[in-house]
Amino acid sequence: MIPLNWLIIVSLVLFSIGIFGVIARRNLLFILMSLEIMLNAVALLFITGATLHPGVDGYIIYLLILALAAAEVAIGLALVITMYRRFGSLDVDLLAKMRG
Amino acid sequence: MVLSMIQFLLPLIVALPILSAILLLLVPLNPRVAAVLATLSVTGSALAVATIQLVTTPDFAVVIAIPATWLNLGQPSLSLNFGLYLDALSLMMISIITGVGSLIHLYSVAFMAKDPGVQRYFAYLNLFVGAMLLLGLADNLLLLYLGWEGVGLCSYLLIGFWSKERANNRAANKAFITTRIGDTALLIGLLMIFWQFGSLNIAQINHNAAAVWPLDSANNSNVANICTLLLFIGAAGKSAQLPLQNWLPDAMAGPTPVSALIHAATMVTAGIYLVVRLFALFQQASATLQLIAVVGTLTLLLGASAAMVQNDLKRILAYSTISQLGYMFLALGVGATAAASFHLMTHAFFKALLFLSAGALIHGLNHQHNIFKMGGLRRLMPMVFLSFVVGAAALSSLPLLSGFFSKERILNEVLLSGHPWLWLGAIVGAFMTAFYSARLILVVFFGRLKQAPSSQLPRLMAAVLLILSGLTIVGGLMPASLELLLLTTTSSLPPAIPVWAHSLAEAIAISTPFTAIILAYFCFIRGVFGTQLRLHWQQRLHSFLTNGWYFDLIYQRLIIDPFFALTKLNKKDLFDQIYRTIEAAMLTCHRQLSRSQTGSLRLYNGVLILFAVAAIGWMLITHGPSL
Repeated sequence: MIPLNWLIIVSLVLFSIGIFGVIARRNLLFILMSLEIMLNAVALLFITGATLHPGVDGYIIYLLILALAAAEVAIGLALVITMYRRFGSLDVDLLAKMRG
Repeated sequence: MVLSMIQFLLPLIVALPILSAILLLLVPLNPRVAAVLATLSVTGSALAVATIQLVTTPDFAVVIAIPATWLNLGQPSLSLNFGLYLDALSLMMISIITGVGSLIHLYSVAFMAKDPGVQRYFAYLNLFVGAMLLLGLADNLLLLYLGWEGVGLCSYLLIGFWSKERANNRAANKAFITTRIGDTALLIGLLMIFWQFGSLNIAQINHNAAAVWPLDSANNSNVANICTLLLFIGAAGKSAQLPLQNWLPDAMAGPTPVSALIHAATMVTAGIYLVVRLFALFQQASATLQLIAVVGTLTLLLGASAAMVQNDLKRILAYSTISQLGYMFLALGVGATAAASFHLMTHAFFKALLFLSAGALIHGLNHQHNIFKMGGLRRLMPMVFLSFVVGAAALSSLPLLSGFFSKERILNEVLLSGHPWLWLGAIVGAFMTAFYSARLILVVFFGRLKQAPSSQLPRLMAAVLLILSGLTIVGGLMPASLELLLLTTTSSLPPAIPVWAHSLAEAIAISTPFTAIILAYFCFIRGVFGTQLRLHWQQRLHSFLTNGWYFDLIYQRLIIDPFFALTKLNKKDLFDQIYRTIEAAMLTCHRQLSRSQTGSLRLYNGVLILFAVAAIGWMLITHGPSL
């Protein structure tokens, strides 16, 4: 049995890596991947919780997250392709056209 | 029978011109039809007045026709009627208004025939007459005030009738604003009367005046003096008396028949009428009466002296009106209401005649106003010459003309009431009056011909001039009913001077105009004093008189300039600054906030996460144990 703390720590580390990727990366594809990492970190945390508590709530949420991630990736990849077609690049800073 | 007939006719007299004015304002008509309609409505009123004149006896009682309630505020004292009040005084007033008014309408048909705004002109003219009739017949002061304001409005509209010229607009504004000062005082006076008497009914107020304001009580007489002073300021505004007289010469900007209407039948007579109407009040306020007499004398001197040096034909007549109104107020000040009303009537005739003749002259000479560019018109315009001579002779009170009887009566009453200095002022004024009348006639009609008339006098105008000349000659008959009415209100003092002095004074009064005419003859025909003003003080005096004692300049410096300086100072309105500051603060905040909208996705993400972490962290710290 893996200790609980480790699981939580792994989950937090994964989540932080995801956050860092979302903020620091300029490539839209990598931002999407970082988002996936964050989602997986959260999913891991739910499963950890589900093993601790009796009941199936944690697993249900995990399945929901999987579905959400699939949908999000589908839309996200569509946006990535659209952006590549329009700008010829995936740099998100190119999108920063809205100046107050 | 007679009573019911009058009760039927009285509302009709007021309604005819007003209805015609409304029709003319609303429905576009053929210009000729409009002119005829307007003239017929006023003539109809005049016929109704004439009928009333015929059926009433000199000592007829008061007739009141009450068609409708105007305001009812619950209490009987606060209910106001559209009541019309007919006694000898208002009968005289409406006779003048409708009589002279219809003649002026008739004259205008020819005078304004080629003007594009005929319909508008006649609508205003009708409204003017209607408002004045309402003023003359009102039985309560509020209704009188309605007519009063209507007259002010119409004078504004008509003075600025040719509204495309800036000078006309300025003249109209000046007339309106100046009389408005008086109107405000009048309104305050009316409210004070209501406070004191609990009623605005004229008959009731006059009846209670002696009881409410007894002469011997010092406290009451203060209120009486203030109240009547306010009324007098209102009258002074409308009748162009001393502090508020300077709008009248500028009011010449309107068409000439309008000047005739303003100066003779409507507008300026309103002030005199108001004082005569409420004379029972004024009798209880001796200080105000003294003031009225002094103001009247000063005004008559101002008007006459300014008229002596004007070059503009119509301005001479305007200053002459100011001066004649001064005579009327002088008469009122010494308590001679009958003489004042009488002079009002004769003045209406001869001043209308003079203005309409001047209109014919100006019409014939292609809008020439300067008398020194006219001359020798005696033979070329005999009809105008004749009517001018009759009018000017009546104005300078040559014996047996209407002006003579009324003015001599005023002079006599002033002397008998024991005011020798005011009498002297009036005599000097009479001298100047005759001088400027003679100057006008001599310069315009004698001497060598300078400009030949370009058009013949229309027959309609000539007819009107003829009728008015007739009225001017025979108008010296005082209506007996007026005498009966006003004798009761005039206090008959014992003669303050011996008989020989009185006869001497009469002789002086009668001979004064002749002396002035002879002097004018030597001045302007023989030219014994030369034609140039050589000395410095002469030029200064000339300029002083030409500018009407510099009243315009004084007001410019004392009131208008400081006012404009103040407005300039406060151009950025003080209270606006508060709102401007709020606006500026909002704008700064907005700019700062909008700088954060960079559009950079990564920055947004970062900030979002930062705050999310901060919020969750804060919750953990504060609610840590319970989570």
